[in-house]
Amino acid sequence: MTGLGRRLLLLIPTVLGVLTLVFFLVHLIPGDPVELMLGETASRADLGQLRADLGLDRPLSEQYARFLGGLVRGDLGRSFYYRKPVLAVIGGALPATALLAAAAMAVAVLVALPLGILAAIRRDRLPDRLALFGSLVGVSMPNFWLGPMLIILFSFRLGWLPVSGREGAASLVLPALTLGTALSAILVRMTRASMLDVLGEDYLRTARAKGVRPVTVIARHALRNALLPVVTIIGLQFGALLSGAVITENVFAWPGVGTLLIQAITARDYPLVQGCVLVIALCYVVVNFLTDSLYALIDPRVRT
Amino acid sequence: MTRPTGRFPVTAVIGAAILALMLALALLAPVITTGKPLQTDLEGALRGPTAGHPFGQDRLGRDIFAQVAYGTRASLLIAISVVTLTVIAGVAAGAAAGYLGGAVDVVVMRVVDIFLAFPGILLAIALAGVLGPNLGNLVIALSMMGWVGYARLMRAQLLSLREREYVTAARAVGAGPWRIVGRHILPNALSPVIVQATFSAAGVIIAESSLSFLGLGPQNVPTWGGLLAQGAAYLLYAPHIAFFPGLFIMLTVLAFNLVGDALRDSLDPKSRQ
Amino acid sequence: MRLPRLLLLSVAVCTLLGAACSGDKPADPGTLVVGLEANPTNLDPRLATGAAAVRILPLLFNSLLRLDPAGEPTPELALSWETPSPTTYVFHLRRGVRFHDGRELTSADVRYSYDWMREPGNHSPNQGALAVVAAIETPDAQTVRFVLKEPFASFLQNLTLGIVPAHRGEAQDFVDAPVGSGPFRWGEWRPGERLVLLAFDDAWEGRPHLDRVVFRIVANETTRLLETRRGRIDLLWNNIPPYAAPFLREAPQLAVTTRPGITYQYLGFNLQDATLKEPLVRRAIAHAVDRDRIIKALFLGLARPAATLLAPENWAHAGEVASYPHDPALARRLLDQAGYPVRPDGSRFALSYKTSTDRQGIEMADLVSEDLAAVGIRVERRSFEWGTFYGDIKAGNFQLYSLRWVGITDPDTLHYIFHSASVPPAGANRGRYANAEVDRLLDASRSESDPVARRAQLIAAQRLIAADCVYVSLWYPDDIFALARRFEGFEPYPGGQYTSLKQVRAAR
Repeated sequence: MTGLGRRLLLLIPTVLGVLTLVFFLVHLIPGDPVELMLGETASRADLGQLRADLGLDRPLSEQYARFLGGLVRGDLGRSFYYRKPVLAVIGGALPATALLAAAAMAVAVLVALPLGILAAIRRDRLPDRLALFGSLVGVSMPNFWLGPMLIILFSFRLGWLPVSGREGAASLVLPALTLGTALSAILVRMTRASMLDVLGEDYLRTARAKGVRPVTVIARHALRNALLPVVTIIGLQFGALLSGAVITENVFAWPGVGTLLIQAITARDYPLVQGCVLVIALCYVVVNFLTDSLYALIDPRVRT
Repeated sequence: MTRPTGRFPVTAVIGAAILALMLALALLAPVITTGKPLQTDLEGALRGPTAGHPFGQDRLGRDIFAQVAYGTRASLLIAISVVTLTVIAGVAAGAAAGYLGGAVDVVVMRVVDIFLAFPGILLAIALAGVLGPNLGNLVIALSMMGWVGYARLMRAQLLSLREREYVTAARAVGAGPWRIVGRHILPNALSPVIVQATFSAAGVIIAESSLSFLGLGPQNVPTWGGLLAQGAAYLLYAPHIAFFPGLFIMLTVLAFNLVGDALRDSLDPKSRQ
Repeated sequence: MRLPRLLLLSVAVCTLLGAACSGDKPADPGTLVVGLEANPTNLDPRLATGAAAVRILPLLFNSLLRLDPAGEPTPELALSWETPSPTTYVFHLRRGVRFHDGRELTSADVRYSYDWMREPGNHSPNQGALAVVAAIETPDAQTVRFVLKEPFASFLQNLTLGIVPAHRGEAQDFVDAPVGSGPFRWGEWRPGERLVLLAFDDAWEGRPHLDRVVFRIVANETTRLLETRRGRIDLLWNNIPPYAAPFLREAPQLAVTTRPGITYQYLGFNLQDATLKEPLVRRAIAHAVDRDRIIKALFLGLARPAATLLAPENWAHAGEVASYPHDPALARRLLDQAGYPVRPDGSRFALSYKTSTDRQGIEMADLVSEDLAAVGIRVERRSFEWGTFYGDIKAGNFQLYSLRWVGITDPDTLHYIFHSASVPPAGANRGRYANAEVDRLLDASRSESDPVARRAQLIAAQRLIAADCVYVSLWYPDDIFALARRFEGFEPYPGGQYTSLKQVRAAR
């Protein structure tokens, strides 16, 4: 398993790069966390002392070194705004986002794979057209619009599902649909395209010519090869999914990391922004590590 | 598996026609609309479609048809420039990484991974904060997030194509690396890139609308995304605001896709069976 | 084909799952659900900053004094007080007040809370406001004496900060489960999601009628309104846009009330700007803005035109001030006079106008810009993410901006906004206004012990400020709140506090 080990090792520079980028980015954005914390009645001396106590008066390079030093010890610092350890603040929000992202992913895959395969098999016929149209509609609807529309339809008019909040499995349905739709739309197209590529390959035509049943051809031969690029796309799109979670969480009052990140940016809560970005980056990296491994599992030829 | 014969499939013609119409709409916006697109008419606030305002009016009574028409300019400009920039940058980086391999590959792919793992929304807020929110900076922010997808896709394609017989053959007859990539690999590798590109045109318009939803979109310029964001805010009182910009986004995506499909079929010899 | 069937199945499962788990639970008569637009980050009264937290604190904590619905300090923990000298305030505490953990509240707790906030190392946002305090003494368990460095007429306004128990205040987890003496005690806290407060049986004012108050954080406006229409939120306040009132009124279970508010919206100038330092230009801009048009369009008439920071209900409100009625012709004449003739391109000069990303604020800015364009001022409106916007405003990096002052009842706020010593970070004089006479009047009002004389000083200052046209005073939007009809007794407080929930009861 040297391939796996090497890939794991390569994650370190990625995460480190993300953290470096976010560190300098948050310090670059205009706006002063100290002034935001102390309000407008604070004197210059109060501001100065808080700045010193937080270490914000030190040169940026020194702050960066301290940030990395803390990281090595597993210490992400204290949130300026919550006045609690960053890990404790994020720990409360992470399960919500993880659940939402997983559910959205499941929705996307469950909808997209069958539809994409069906579209490829019935190329240029009604199912294909419908799938194409559906995916067009899917990519054309932003989360901030689709979410409220789903709420109005399923919660407000029909009364089937809760409007928002996080109570029971039912409250997960609409957020997962909202967040999963765009990914699903992309996956339908990818699955279809990939299926078509594979269906044109010689060995499948041979199999068909030999009289193997079409269902068997697809299930046994085509699917496995067609899924390879789809798996890659799932991993790649996971970042977009997490970004989309920011807005989906807002619409459905879903208390996740995305909401926290926006709040932290607004408050210029540097440690919390860094923590949120670290968590988001880790999620992304882990999911991609898994899809890469899955890729290797499906296709024994791949050993990068 | 037969395809429509002839050089131009019907679907591609339809796609091109829609794009031409959009282009015409963008160019002719001042001719086909009356008044300025941002001219308010408070008496008509949130009013649905009427004879004078076929698409209805927005929160400040501005004509939605005029905004959609003028919005075509900004939205197409944003979509096309971001897609062009990201495809060029991504394909170049991916091709370099995939073909040259070694240290170049490692470094490029690390950078790609960093950008992929980074929450785009933070980058957009940071750029809007530092550079100020306007059209150009929006294009920069969206491009910075977008190129990496193409880079990864391109590299994966190159890795699988590099060892194909016709490439080895070309190498054997002494073709240089750029010639091999340009003549033999790129045309074969571009198919998924094009699929991705036609879709990301939509993604770019949607991303622009999400930034507008957060109040960080381009300012003082009507865009489809901006209208859509406003439509979401007034969904309970005036659902028509979001409908027409949404429809135009969809039509544009459809057109990009139809054209992209045709392009793919003509570029990729394999799918022309 | 097996695949479509699989798809159908998964759709069916989703639908069943939804149908089985949804359906609204019957409303519990003792539980009231409040919809909040923002997360109350920190509910330690010594550290709380955001409006969301500050509005909830009066339910959990008591303070020496509290502001009544008119914004006047009235007794709470302090039964009575006297001021033997202009720099000494002596408070006599109520007996038998208990914290939620059963311990009795004494003067030691009061001193502990204030001393903690005054300690620079604790970085309390209230530290600046308490800078005037020289010492706090506790002659006995029921008496607290504040000694000030100098006379400060608005000092009582600073005594509305919550008192925390000295025996708990140092605990690391205090912020996770604060203990106070207010009518409600800590229940459950899921950050970003919900805060549950429970009735405190031993509240000195008597147990509240409600058993539970649930604050649900629903940041998205559309979602919040839909939840309220559906009856899943019982009280919505501070966050209902005027155009949403008719939508909520369609729900039979809701009573929607509007009443005049005191939130003050204004257009701010940078007085150090080469163009805007000219008073004629500022007056021209003030005359160019058509308040009535904007109130009608954006607020559906639910706002009152404003001419000064302090609302008419305030005891120090100045009635007769320069008010700049809409008069574009006059505005043009003033601009001509100021030396800004119309140029060949049709405009006189250009200004940038900064707003936050708040949608209503942007719409308002667009309408104001249109009014200014009508007199030849080209306005470029730019909206910025809040932290950037706020930073720019404080740094004086703007020409025009618009913002609001929420819940201003203390006239000393004039000092904080218009005194030349209040330039940020010392205060909120963001436009860098300086008028020696205004400074003198506001300084004098701080140490004036005679209310009549103080009122005269404050009114004189407001007149000068209006005459100098430091702000364009826009309007006071109405307060709109929606309460489920199954409850009664809610009363809005000017700062948006939920204080009156302690008297809300099930409707008979």
